[in-house]
Amino acid sequence: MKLLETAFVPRTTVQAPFKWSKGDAWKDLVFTEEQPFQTPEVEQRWNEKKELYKKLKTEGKL
Amino acid sequence: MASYVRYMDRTREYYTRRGYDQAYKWAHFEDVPFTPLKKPLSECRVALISTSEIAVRDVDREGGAEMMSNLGGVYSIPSDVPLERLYSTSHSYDRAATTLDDVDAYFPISAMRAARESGRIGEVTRRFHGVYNAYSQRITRERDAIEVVRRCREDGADVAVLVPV
Repeated sequence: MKLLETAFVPRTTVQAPFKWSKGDAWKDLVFTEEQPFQTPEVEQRWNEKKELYKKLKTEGKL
Repeated sequence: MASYVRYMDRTREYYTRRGYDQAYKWAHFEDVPFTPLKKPLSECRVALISTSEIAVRDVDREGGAEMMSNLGGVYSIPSDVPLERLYSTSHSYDRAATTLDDVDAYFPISAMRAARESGRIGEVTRRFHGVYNAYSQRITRERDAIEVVRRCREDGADVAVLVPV
């Protein structure tokens, strides 16, 4: 809310003071081979969506 | 230990390792319009816009599964829905580190209501809005963003809080 009032140029950013209660370890692991963002099940669904998107685009529906 | 996640670098490297030969092209704007508030926040009507795939239990959203999966699009929910009836249908989050149980973490409706009650903001709009994640930057830019602005104006919003997820 304060940012809405105080920013005077575009792309103004602020850092929230909150800390993740379980620590920062996830930052080192996210999007690594050790801890991919998606589970295999979700990734499969994502790939299916991607193929459907290509199909719809080919058919001119997008 | 990193103080923040280099999200764009990490995702680019991750998908390169997975065999994708073209790096994702992030949306980028050389020029960003800026409009300062024209009146105190305590007199403003505030909208909330989210990409968290927020939903209301037992209520069908506009668009349905295909919009959510592929076509993108905009939907709205009443701003007075009780918190306990809200949830997210998103699958795209770090399941190893968190859950979607805390709705206020990605759709800060309690904070908005508290701000209204305390007089920090004037009021909230009658609807809040969700934008389905779509593959097409062009569709997001040229269709969905315009529709969100139209709905905000229709509700008399002075300002909007965007919560990208």
